[in-house]
Order: sequence, then structure tokens, then C-alpha cells
Amino acid sequence: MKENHEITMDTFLAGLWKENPVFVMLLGMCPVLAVTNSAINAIAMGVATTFVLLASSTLVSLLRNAIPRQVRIASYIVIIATFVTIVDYLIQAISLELYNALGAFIQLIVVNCMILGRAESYASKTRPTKAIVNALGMGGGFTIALLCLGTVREILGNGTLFGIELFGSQFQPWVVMVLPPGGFFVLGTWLLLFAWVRQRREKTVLQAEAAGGN
Amino acid sequence: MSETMQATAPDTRSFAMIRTLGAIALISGLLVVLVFEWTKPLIEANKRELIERAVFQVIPGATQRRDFLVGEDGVKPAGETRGNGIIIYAAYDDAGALKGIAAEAAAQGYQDVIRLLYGYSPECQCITGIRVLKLSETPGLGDKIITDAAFVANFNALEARLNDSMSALANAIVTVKHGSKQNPWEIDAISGATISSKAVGKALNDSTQRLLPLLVPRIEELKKTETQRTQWDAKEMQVNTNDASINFTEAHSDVAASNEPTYIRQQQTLCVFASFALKDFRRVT
Amino acid sequence: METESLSFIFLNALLINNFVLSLFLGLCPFLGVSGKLGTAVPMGISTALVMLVSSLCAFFINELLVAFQIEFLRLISYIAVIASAVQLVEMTMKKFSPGLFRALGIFLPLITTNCAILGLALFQTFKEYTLLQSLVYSLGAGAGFTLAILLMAGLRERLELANVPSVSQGAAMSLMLAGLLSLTFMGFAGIGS
Repeated sequence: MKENHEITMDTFLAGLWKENPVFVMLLGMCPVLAVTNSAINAIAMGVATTFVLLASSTLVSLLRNAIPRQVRIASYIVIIATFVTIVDYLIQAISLELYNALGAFIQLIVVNCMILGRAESYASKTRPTKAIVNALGMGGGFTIALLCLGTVREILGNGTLFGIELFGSQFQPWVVMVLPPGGFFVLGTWLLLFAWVRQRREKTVLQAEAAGGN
Repeated sequence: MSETMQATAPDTRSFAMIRTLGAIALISGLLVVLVFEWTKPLIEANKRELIERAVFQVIPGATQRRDFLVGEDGVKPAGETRGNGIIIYAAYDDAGALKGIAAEAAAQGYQDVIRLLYGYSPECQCITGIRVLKLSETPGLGDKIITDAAFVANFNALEARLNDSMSALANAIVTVKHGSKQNPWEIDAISGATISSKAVGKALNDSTQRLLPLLVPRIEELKKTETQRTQWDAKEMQVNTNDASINFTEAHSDVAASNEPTYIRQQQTLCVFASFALKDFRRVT
Repeated sequence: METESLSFIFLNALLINNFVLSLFLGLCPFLGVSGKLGTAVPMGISTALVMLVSSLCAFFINELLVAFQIEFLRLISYIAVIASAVQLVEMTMKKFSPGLFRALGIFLPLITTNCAILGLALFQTFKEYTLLQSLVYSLGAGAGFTLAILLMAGLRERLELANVPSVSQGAAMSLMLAGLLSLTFMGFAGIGS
């Protein structure tokens, strides 16, 4: 199987929009809803996941010719679990409050289907530099998605953004937004928005084709 | 010929699998252990700082802290024993006087367990403050136990006096309906957040009923351990004149290994030096 | 803290802090497999079985790790245990009830990446449950997951026949439904106080 050696902008951008892990591929949903009740938590989770994705993709890509086919899933899982443990201790060392806020979901990064999926379908088939660029794009897309949810939920449910009060003291926060149902509702609304945008775009393309045909 | 080839092929395959898995396990283990060892001191420092901040918040006027383990058999410094017991944080002011002790309490709230740290002062036999460590209550309702000023004021002098036989609290701590607080051992609940308020009262009651009967009779242990221990060490030095160097290292390691605040450690080292000076002085005269 | 009663632990995992609707664990299979009741039921049962087995194994592994003071290997060992538990359940089922095994089919291997299983193992470790408490907790969690996926499947089957705007079809609709379900489950908070 010939490897595609080209690194294009598409390698990076794919993860951000076209193949966004959360909004398009619907992977890694559990942390998306659980830790996005504030924007800071969302960014921290995004950065942590990007780090694990980057590190594991690099290692898997470096070792891709040395791992026999039968044990590849087991090897990938061990590699991912190692980096998740490392991130776990790093976050504890940096800020204990952040660690308590993110809770068990740091350790749950290891079962984030996105990371295993990328390792299996992409990193094991491409050379390291390309895998790194793609991982950065994927991680960036994931962080952006988390941020979209985190900011909306924090603004509506708390009246703050990154801890800064936005509205006056009369603002009655829409508390359900920072609770579990709110997570579902906000993500559903974002997906609805993207589906609507996509439909509009498809319609204009069709209209342009029809007009061009006439 | 083909049979031997077939026989060797699976062997090399399984060998390759074992070799790969083994190598990956080795690398992973190495990485994890390295990061663990490197971050361990940082994490310990973080945890210590977090506890200290909470302890100094619930015991006003405190600037230093030592940890103790309270069990059936007495009160011991937390560093020395590894047994079962309730961990308490004894807080002292600059002069070394005991200002109070802090301990953890927990009870089931509305959504999940509420964990808090409370300060107890043996002088007034009352709770001097609480600080919530873990809260998953309804935001805007249950988390009022942190933000509601009137509720927090409940804990400035909540009575936790023991009865005459020192076996239980004279009056159990109880949460009463909002606005109906009559006695100093009652907590005024927050209207609209009864379950969370009740959980706080239950947590404090449970913890104090268990801890105070064991602690209060032995409260003197926390007060005099400092100077007593220093004097004892100095006496040891004076008695044993034979092997000065070994005694010195023993005393030094004892002082260095303890959790004591720095100035007390300095005091102890000074006493050790003083005792040596005294020994030399006695030998000379 | 006084120890929780077993019935409370069970109720807690089943309703009050439902693994899917309150703790956000196990969402990938929840959204992916709840299209039909016929697929939802086997998924729920197999997940519950794996939860029970891995909860037991995780408890003993944790005792071992603590005894040797190598807690930093916890995550790697839990994952390995869960993957093996899935294999174990698969093999036992193939031997003792091949009919059920054929019905479950592809769902068993998918359970390995179900965050609910790892989440269960981690939570029972953090809460320091005894063996009996862990068993009851995993039973409750499995029942809670099955309950949630059953409800979701029932709702989605009904919605197949409803006239829903095209923008919201698919994942968006499932998420809104899940949000409504989560809202109703919030009403269980406070039982057992």
C-alpha cells in the first residue's frame, strides 16, 4: 500500500471542519458533555486530549512497521493509556483545582474513541510528520468543539465567561445549562445549526448547477 | 521442507508479538514511572497548600499547622503512625499556642456527597467555621451553603460542647427550619435548600460525635508536644556523653524528618547545639 | 462518613446518578445503538454483564496495586482488565448460551471502548467501596444503562413515524431526546435522604 507522502493544508484543516471529531464524526462524546460546564474546563480538557492524541499518534506512527497486525489494538491501547496517565499526573502537578474540576474524565480520555480510531485508521499508515500535523488538526477541532459548548453553557448557565461576570447582578442564570440536560440540549442545537448550514449550502450549489444548466 | 517452514513461521510470528508487546510495556512503564517520580513532590506541595489554605480559613488567627491521627489509643502525630484513625489538622498561631483543630466531615446531600472541613476551638468548645471541599448540589440552590452569608454565619460559634461523661455531645448539632434557630447548637437552614442544609448539619454532627469524645480528653497532647519533645531531646543529649557524633546525627535526623514548622525545627536544632555546648562546657570545667 | 446502605448504592447508580443521563458515560453506544428496541436490549444486557465482571476484577487488581504501592499503573491495568473481561464474557457466552451469543453478535467487542465500564471501575475505586458494595454498584449501573437505552430506543422508534424537520433528523434529535430524558431523571434526586 503506497503511503501518501504529501502534507497539505488539508491534512491540518480536515480535523478542524470537514472531519471535526465531535460535530461530524460524533466521536468522544462523553467528555464533550461532561466537562463543558465552563469554558476553562473545556479548554483544559481539549488541550489534554490534544496532547494525548499528539503523543500517541507520533509513537504509533514511529512504531508502525514494528508492530505485528495481531497485537496492534492492544499495543495502541497501552500506548494511549501511558500518555493519559502522564497527563493525569502533569495536571495534578500544575493545578489541583483544575484536576478536581475535571474529575475522572481525564482518565477517561483513554477510552475516547477518537484517539484509538485515529491511531488505527491514520497514524499507523502514515509517516510521523504527517501524523503529527493531522493529530494537531484533530485535536484543534476537538478543542474548538469543546469551546463552543463550554462558552454557551457558561454564559447562559452562569452569566460568566472564564470566570468574568458578563451581565449585572440582576441576571437570572439559566441553571439547567450547566446541568446534564443542558449539555445535551446545547450540543443538539449546535448539530442542528451545522445541519441547517449544510442544507443551505447544498441548496445553493444545486441552484447554481440548475441555473448553469439552463 | 515446507513443513519446517510452516513450523518456524508461526513461532517467529508469536515471538514477534511477544517481543513487541514486551517492548511497548517496558517503554510505557519507564515513561510512567519517570513522570510519576518527577511530579510527586510538586503534587505533594499542591495538596499541602490546598489543605493549609482551607485549615487557616476555618480557624481564624492560625498560621501554622501540624497533622495528628486520633484513634482509640490516643493522639499521635500523623507522620509517625500508619494506623487507622481520624486525621485532624492542629493549627497554631505565631507564638505556638493552639488555636484550634480542623477535621473533615461528609454526608449525603441532594445530588451527591457533600464534603467539608470544619474548625473546632477547644477554648469555646465550639465550631469556628466550615469550608466546603466538594459540592455537587444544584447550582443556584444547593450551592447557597457556600454563598449565603446568613447560613455561613451559623458556623462562627456553633456550640459543640461535650456532656459531663465526655462520651457524646451535650446537645447534638441539628439543622432547624429557616428562621427558627433558638439555641447555639442549631443551624438555621436555607429556605429552598433544606436537604443540602440538613446534610451539612448531619455531617458536622456525625463527625463531632465520633471525634470529640476521643480528642477533647487528650487535647493537652496537642498543646505541649512542642516544648516537651524539644526538652526531652535535649535531655537525651546531656545524659549520653559517650558517642557524641552518633547522638548528633540521630537528633538531627529526628528534627529534619518531622513535619514541624520551620521555626520550631530551628528551635530544636538550637537546643541540640546548646546541649552540646553545655556538655563541652561541663567537660572543660 | 457513615457507610451507604446497599439499597441506596443500587438506587443511586440506577436512578439518581444514572450513568448515561447524569454522568455522561457510555454515550457512544447509547446514541449509536438505540435506534431499535431489538438492538438496544442485547446491548444493555451485554454491557451489564461486562460491568459486573470488570467491577469484580478491578476491585481485586486495585487491592494488589495498593499492596505493592504501584497505583500509577492503575489506568493501564484497568484497561487491560476490561479488554480481557470482554473477551471472557464473549467466550463464556459462546460456550454456555450460543443463541444469546449469536443475538448479541457484533455488540460485545464494541463494549471495550464504552466509557461507562472504565468509569464504573474508577468511581468504585475513588469511593473506596468494599467488594459487596462494588458488586451492588455495578449491578445498579448496568441496570441504569439498560433502562436508559431502552427508554431511548422506545422513543426513537416512535419518532420514526413522526413528521420531524429534516435539519434535526439524526444525531440532533437523539440529543434533544436525551436531554429531555435527563431532565426527567433529575426528578429522582433526593430519594433516599
